Amino acid sequence: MSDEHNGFHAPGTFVLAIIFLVTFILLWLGHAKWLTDIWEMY
Amino acid sequence: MSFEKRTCEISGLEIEKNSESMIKLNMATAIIFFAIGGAAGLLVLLTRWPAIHLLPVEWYYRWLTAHGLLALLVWIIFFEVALVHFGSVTLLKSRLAVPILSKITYGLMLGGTLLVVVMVLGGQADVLFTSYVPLQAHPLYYLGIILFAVGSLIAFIHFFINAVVAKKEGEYKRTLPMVSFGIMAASIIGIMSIAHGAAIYIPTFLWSLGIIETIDPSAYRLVWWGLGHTSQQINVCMMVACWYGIAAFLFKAKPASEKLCRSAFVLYILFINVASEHHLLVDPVFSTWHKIVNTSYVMHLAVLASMIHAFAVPASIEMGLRKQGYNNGLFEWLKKAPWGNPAFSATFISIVLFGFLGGTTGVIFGTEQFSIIRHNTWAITGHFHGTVVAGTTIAFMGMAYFLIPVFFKRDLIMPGVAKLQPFVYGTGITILSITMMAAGTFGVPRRHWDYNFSDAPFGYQFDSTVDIFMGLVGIGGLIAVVGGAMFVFVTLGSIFKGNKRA
Amino acid sequence: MAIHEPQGNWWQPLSKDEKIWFILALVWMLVSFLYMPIQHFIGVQNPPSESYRVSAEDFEALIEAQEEKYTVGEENGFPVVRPNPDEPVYLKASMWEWTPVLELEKDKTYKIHLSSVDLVHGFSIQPINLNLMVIPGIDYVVNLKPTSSGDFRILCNEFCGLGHHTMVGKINVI
Ligand code: HEM
Ligand SMILES: [Cu+2]
Ligand SMILES: [Cu+2]
Repeated sequence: MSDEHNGFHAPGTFVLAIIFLVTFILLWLGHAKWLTDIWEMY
Repeated sequence: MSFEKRTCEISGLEIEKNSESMIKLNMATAIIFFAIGGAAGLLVLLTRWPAIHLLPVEWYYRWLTAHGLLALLVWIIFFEVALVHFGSVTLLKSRLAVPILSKITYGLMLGGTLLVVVMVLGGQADVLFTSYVPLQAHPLYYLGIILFAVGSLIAFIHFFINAVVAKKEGEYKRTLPMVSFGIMAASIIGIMSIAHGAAIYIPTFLWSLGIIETIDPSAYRLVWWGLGHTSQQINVCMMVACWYGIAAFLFKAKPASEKLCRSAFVLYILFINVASEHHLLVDPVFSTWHKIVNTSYVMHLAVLASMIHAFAVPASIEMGLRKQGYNNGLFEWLKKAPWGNPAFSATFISIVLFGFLGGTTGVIFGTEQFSIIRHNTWAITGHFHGTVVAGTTIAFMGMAYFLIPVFFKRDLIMPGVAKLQPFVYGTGITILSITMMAAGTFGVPRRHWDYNFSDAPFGYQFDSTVDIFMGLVGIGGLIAVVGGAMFVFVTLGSIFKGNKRA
Repeated sequence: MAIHEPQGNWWQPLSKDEKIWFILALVWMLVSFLYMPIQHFIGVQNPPSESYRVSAEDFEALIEAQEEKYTVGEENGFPVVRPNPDEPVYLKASMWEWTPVLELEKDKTYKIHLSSVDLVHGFSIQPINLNLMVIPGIDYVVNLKPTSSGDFRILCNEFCGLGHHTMVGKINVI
């Protein structure tokens, strides 16, 4: 089995996990942008 | 040791008699309170839906208090007490070490719950479930919470007594099975969290009796969240243990690396406690470094643990299904998975929704600066309906579908309804959670009776897109209520009326 | 299987996909963690961290003194205060009002002292959606620079009793 998937045990899950990570990063970047829309504060 | 037990023909589990009755009792009680908590959720939902605005103001806050307590505390923790018994007795093929302790747990938790509900709906505790001082409730309200907490503390301690007895009697040799290991991690976190609970509810109880003069509001928030957040990690741990359990029962799935998964549970135990301070990121008093180190550095290691589990569980399911021959391409295993089995579909839905809805937003809203633009808005409510509802609650639903035939020896009634239920509930909660977050992005506050501010000295109108989100929250919530009711009918119906097995 | 005790040596190296995933997840967690301290140095939107103890009476006195000195008008029964940007500004939360109405100048930085004289309240400026907690007995010092002008509302977004939903204040930025 491992030969067929380049040593990956769970290639499907790996693809899902990468989709998850990309979503996560994009959402996070969205918030980093929205934060700059508010008034300055410290 | 010999004790009374039977072998379950569905699962092959050996079921000991004393623990069996406690698991049944706690599970059934949990589901009944899930039903009441859900009804409270419906009333709150219909009040926040501007087109309906159902309840008068004081009843909105009362039912909101009741919904938070019944759903978050009572449903979840009764179910967890059942899981504690399952993980420390059934899975270890052992016996319930001290049966009377389980009965005391049940009595205290039920008594506490009833006291709390009477106080809240009797209008003696209009404080919401966080009861931030100097808001004050009737002393019996705090007493009810304390009774409930002591009961669950005894259950978590009982885990360790059972596990030690099982080891002494030779039921396992070196380490616990993974699922029990997860439930053990949850029990450790449970004990830590109730220690915070004692540190805050006992003084507050004395304060409500007039014995203590004041409670510092800022210190209250710090310690209260030591309970409030840490206890959410009990839920995450228990949820992950259920994921591993269902994957193992249905697919004989084995985590690719026991090493990594067990280490991830240890990360939870080590780092979750301080993470509770992400509730205080825009509070005065705490310094910047204190906030960053406590909530974030350490919380992110706990998040890392969740990312490990979120990969390991579906990976083990994938490997199990590939072994069964669904080995073509990337996703044949996923297409051919047993979607008609609600134990599986609920588990998979829980994994996906917990990650995408609850997990991502939890880390983002828990980032020190991002808290400025999300704190106390409806986005937070949307976030935790992604964790504790879409994640934990749906995982427990899957576990209930699996455990009811095993422990009650009855078939599930209405299998067609059961088959659809996780999808209906999951869809409803997804819409509810996303649209709550969208409304919160525009500043709609949580815990707020009048989104039109009609009695305020200065009126305010939200951006008109918010009206659409408010309506969608209502629609998503109604779908979720239908899904919740389907769950209650199927499970309670099966418990009382399902076909008896031999 | 996860429901049985693992047999043999289970402390084994990770598979390739698990290892890659673990590294990616770890790196992303470190990046999102490091953002927080770095943002304190390079960012201009950060949670304030200066605070002091203050009694309700003392804070009321500060509010009154400010009103005497800087009131420029009245709106819906609330004094409108136009403070000097070089001096401390006081804003009081109470059940269920924000006092006074503040008139601030765009792009000037103000030191706003926020406190509550009764319960915990939530300070939420709309429509920009900027949120902070207001705690009784604590003076929260917020350095705030309005970067847009117009009429803004202060909502209360922490439950503070049955009038919570009527607790709306106002900030005018000119
Ligand atoms: C039928 C499904 C559900 C619906 C329609 C629903 C709906 C709601 C709504 C509308 C609110 C009010 C938010 C506000 O006004 O600020 C709320 C709050 C809340 N819900 Fe749910 N909910 C559901 C299930 C659950 C479950 C299963 C749990 C826990 C496991 C839960 C935990 C909470 C908590 C902790 C709050 C916050 C209460 C507070 O802010 O004091 N909900 N829910
Ligand atoms: Cu308020
Ligand atoms: Cu309020």
